[in-house]
Amino acid sequence: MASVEERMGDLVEKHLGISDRAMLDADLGEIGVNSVDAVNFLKVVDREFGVEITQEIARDFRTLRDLVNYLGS
Amino acid sequence: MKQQVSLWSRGQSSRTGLWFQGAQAATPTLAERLVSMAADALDSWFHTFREIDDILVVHVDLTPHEEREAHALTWLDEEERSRWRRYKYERPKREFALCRAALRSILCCRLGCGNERLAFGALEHGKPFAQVDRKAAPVSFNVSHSGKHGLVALAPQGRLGVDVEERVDRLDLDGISEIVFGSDEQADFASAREPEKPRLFFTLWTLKEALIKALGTGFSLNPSRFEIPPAMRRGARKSMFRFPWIPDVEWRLENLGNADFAAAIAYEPDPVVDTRRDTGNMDAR
Repeated sequence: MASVEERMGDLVEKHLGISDRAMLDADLGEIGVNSVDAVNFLKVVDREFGVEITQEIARDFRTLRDLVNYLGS
Repeated sequence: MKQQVSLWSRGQSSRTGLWFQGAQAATPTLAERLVSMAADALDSWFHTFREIDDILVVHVDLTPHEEREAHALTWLDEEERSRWRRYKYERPKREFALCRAALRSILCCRLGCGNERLAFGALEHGKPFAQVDRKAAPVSFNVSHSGKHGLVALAPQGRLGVDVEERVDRLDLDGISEIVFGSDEQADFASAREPEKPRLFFTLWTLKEALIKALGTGFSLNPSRFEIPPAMRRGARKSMFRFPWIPDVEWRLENLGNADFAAAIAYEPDPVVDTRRDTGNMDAR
């Protein structure tokens, strides 16, 4: 079974157009993720992982790795 | 040298569509000459989009263009170039360089200063403000970009926020609406039909984001906690607005969208104090 990181990498590539897995550790602003894309991605994660991530939780995420760690915790 | 006119005087646009300070100056200062020279080189990628009261909204063309991007970089200071280098992809690099250079040029015109005297500070949630010689400058501004379009909004005082979004079709609009829209907004959105549904989504999104940016909270403020006035949800282009938890502050909202993009601006028509650092009662959210 694919790890959370692998599944997240696939979603990031499909929905944010980012194929470089090293970008999981980059600041979201530095990879050009804007607010509407970010909120859209929260719904994608909700559907794929069955985990609702509220905006209050998501606003503390600085990188996609933070999201991976949250899902894996 | 092109004629220079006040950034805030209405109906006197120069041939470039931008306004410049020092209309009556028989002998332009060095700063004015620098601004004019820069504007000659830059005006092909930004131009006046709208004038609303004493607010100027400038459109920035973010289409890939090597020469413009190279020229834009010469306007940035070392800290900004460092930030530019940290962007991982060409698109955000381009958006930042072209918008920041346009903002610098416009602010230099407005403030009558040379680019080297201009710097930016940041408020609690990251909203930037202009400084000249390390002192807060008497100007409010806000910047937004999406795809090929950037908008820079400037006002002599008061808070303002602007947002632009290309109406892309790759988003889960129904899903996003559940997160960011209030109950009445969700009902209106759910009952909308194609092709108006995506237009309504992006109209509401940009209006909400413009308000959030004007307030200066970023997305620490949940956008579902307030709703766009019903008249604007039904198609009105302008309205007044009050956040439920800050009833004594009135905002003017305007839909700036056109066939190419959705856009909106929110601003204080009658700011009573220097409120750039006041984000209201955060505890009420």
